[in-house]
Amino acid sequence: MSPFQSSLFKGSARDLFTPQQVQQLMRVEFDRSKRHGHPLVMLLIAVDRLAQLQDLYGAGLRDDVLRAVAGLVRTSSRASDALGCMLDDRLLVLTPHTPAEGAASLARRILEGVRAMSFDGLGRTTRITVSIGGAHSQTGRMELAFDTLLDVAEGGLKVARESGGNRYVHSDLYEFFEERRKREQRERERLAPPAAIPAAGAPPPVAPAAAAAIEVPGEAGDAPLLGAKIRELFGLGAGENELLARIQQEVVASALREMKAEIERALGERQSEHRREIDTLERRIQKLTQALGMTDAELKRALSQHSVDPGVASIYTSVQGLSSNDVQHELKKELMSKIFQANLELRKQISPGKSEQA
Amino acid sequence: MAKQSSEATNKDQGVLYLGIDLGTSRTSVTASNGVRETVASYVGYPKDVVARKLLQKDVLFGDEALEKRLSLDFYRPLAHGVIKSDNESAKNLKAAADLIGEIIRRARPRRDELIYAVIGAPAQASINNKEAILKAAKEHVDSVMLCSEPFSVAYGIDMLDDTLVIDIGAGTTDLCRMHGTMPEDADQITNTFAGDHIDETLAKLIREKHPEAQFSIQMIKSIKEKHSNVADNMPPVVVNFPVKGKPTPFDITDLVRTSCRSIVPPMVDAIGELIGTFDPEFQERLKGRVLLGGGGSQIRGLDAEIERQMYERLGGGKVLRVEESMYGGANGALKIAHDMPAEYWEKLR
Repeated sequence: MSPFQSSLFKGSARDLFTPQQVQQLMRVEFDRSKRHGHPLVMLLIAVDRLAQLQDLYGAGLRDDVLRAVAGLVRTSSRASDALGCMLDDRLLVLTPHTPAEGAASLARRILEGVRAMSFDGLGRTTRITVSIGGAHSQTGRMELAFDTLLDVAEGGLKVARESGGNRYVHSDLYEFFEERRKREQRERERLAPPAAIPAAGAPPPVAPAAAAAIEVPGEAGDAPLLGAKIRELFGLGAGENELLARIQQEVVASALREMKAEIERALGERQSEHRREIDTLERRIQKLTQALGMTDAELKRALSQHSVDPGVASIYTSVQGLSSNDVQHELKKELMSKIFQANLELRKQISPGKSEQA
Repeated sequence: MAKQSSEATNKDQGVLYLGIDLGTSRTSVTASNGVRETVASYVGYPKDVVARKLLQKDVLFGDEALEKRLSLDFYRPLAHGVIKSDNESAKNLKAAADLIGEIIRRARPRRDELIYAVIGAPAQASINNKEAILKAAKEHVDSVMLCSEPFSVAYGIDMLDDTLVIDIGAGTTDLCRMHGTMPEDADQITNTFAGDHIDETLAKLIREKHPEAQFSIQMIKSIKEKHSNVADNMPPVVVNFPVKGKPTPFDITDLVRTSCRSIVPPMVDAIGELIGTFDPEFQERLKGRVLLGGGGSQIRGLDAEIERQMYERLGGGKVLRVEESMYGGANGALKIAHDMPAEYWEKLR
């Protein structure tokens, strides 16, 4: 359990369970539901792009977000539901006696509640979303095994996050996505060039003259090897007709072009991902630098307030008074007396009691 | 100053005298440690948390406050010569107190010295004003006294007999007849034909003659401080004002002269009144010892213009300028502080 979890989930009215406790509960509930034939739903909830939020606004906002989401889940679920935390800041909800529709309704409430939340970070208002993966103990086609319930929920969460987040994927949908993923995988494998040439029934080697005749623009990296394999696949000996040689040439060139484009696309994606990471880090550095500058200025101000000016010493070490050598001594003496009397009178007007004492 | 008995006994290293001239436009201090400081009488407090964070200060004074006034709750606590008592009276009193505290801090007193201050207060300051000034000053000094501003100017240059002191400030012009004793109410006349009046007149004249020119009263004040003159042959005053965003030159020579001259007739009226009610035997002597002080005395040719109008209306007169117009009041207050007997200071602590 992370420090956040320990500080967040303890001491509340309805404490969250630890991963171990949740798993123990799940086993108990699973056995009970199997025995009594009642359904059971598991929801796995994760805040979308939480790491980036922490990078941008700091760990304080991350804790606020997790605390708020946990609070929402707590208020949205029933008292009999078990709420726990998993590693990586995911929340786990176990709702016994709940059909698939009930789980979907709960997930929808959580999604809508989280969308309505807003957080203040560095003077900006931030909104968040969550992804939810759900697993139902009794799907339409089969009854999920105890050990796979969590895997299915995690799979659903993964699909939900990879689809852009802010959605709920339950077990049936997960199966649908899984099937689609497998279909796409099969399609990719079918379209992709063969990784290896079967040893048995290998065609005869390409004649050096024919291989030299094939021109492949922009071959690089694995491309020569691929070219050789394809040439080997189409391998025609010297003296075959020109049409077949031209077809071979075009197929090889086309395959290499496709491959090059695919490599470039993959590289481009990786570069843009790196750029995003760099941007995020640069923004964080900028914000930290700004915060550091402000802290530095505050420290300087605080220090300056403590630095006391020793002052400049007066030329007089004692009280002076009118010099008897002054040519207007008498006049000035009388004026001083009148100024004093006027000030004494003023004090009387301001605070009569005090002046009487003077 | 919060006085603890132990602190009082620790103050055995010397006595610092402060002379403070609390003016509408500028507040100045001269001290017996050689420090002389002046600050424009503006006080500003950050409007909100954002401004506070930007300015890094809780209170700004003088030209700095003026420069940042858009981010501040801005006060000119001594406008019109007294602490303003409008609907923001409490805030003005606080601003005045902070200003007094700041000018005392700028005198750089030592912690182990007794500090005795004389403050030249506006002649027409009310009892509430004086109480506020005393209260603010007592936070920072051991003993404080108030005296009339024009009197302190005259005392500073030892012209205590048969002298007519004219202290031209920003908010008011104070005229005081000195005749070898403390001036009474009948010896003093105050009018508001002073620096601010010149600013307002100049702004009005420019607005009438060049309605397209855009300016603020601060711009007018700067122009006045740089070009003020009442002479017939004064150098031309050509200034740039924006017109629809474009800086455009305007010749305002005549307008500057007219606005600066606008304070002279009321001043000569007041001079005439003070001279006319003086002992006839000494009237001629009083006319020959008119002393011009305050920031307004820096208007070029003003002494000659007053003399000219005195000649026309009173049959003659001689006008002298105080050498240091900015510190004339503060110097006089410092001299009073120095000459004040020790027992008087003690009684007022």
